Amino acid sequence: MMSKKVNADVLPQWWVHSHEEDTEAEMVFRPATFNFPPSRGRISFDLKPDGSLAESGIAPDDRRLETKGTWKLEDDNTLAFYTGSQSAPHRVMRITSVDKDRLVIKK
Amino acid sequence: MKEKTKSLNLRSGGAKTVKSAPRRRQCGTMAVHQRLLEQYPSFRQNLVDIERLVARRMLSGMAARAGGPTTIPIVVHVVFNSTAEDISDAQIKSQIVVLNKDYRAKNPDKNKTPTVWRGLVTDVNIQFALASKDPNGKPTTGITRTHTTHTSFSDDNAVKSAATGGADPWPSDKFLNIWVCTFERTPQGQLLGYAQFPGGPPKTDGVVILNTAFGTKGTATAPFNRGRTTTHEIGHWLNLHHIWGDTAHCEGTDFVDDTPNQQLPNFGKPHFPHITCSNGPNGDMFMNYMDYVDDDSMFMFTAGQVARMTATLDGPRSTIGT
Ligand SMILES: [Zn+2]
Repeated sequence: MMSKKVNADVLPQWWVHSHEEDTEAEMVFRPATFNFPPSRGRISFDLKPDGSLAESGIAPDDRRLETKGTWKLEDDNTLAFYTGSQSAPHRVMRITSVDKDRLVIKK
Repeated sequence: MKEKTKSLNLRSGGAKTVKSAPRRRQCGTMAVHQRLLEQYPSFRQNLVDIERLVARRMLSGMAARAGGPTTIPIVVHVVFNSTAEDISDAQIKSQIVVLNKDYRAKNPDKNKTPTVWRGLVTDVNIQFALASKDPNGKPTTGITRTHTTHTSFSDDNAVKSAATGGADPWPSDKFLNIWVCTFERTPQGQLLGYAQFPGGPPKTDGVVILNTAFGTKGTATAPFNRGRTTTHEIGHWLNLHHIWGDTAHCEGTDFVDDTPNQQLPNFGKPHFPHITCSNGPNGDMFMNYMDYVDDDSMFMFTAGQVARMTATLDGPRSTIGT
């Protein structure tokens, strides 16, 4: 399949996992301004316009786990997250669709 | 799940159907741990020691603490700003009732466990009671109430110290400290609770629970109004890890042999089976207390998890309970 070029202009935002909207094959993210119901935990990533990245994960004791890095849009529709000076991304996500208030990635 | 250990034989009944390829513990898990442990250098060595002890105990059979259940005294520290946050004694007691069912496998909803895993549902053999004597031996309700000027707390342990607007713990070698408070609302939403594993600093030992996710009455709010947040956090306090292994790929582990390998946390009210990490046909054990589903969708610990908790009570938490 041809990879579909996504609208990169709307990507730099703080995206939070809206797991209530997930399907078997896809994960849905919403901007941090979205009105999320309570949850045991939500992962998020803040894609800054300058290419820096702030990720928030779930720690083993349920606290938030904040990490910094950088992000890139690669091959038109692939989000890649990098830590420090490492050349290989620690996380790669294929974008299915994105607009200014909804980001959908393949699981 | 956990990488295979040759002589480990904790399986019973339906456990035969739990099969998965050996997995390696990879950098993802290590990174998480390293970040967590950087704050407390001695915590790291403690955890290594605890893992060794747990492994030894699990190999030598798990008949320890045979006989009657261990009773753990609880002190609940209610830290409130508004009067609504000063939850009632009845709400607190409703939480103790839940714990005493869940940790004895007496919770009626365990009957919803899929048939293939019924044989794994295991009694932890622990009971909980609000402390009847305080650290000085004086009679107590086992509840402290502290008015604070803070309208909310983050996950930074501030609620655990009077100096930072919270309430000081009772000695954590004798009491399970439970702080109940309001968590800050952040763009990622509001936390429901957080825990501390065994081996950490005594001053911050215990669990912290959101007041609206505590107990089954009063301010407890659906879908987190069946007391399972506290059941889950005490699981961590007794050394249990998340059933998905704390990574977003399939190489994470919960250090337990009889839970299926699982990729990610499950949320809400999943439908059986939910397959990830080639764990079919039965899929994720999302009804386990150590997943992230709604309160009415989690209702079991496995034999392997109980072995870890029992080993923890015999080892790093041996000073607590009678
Ligand atoms: Zn947890």
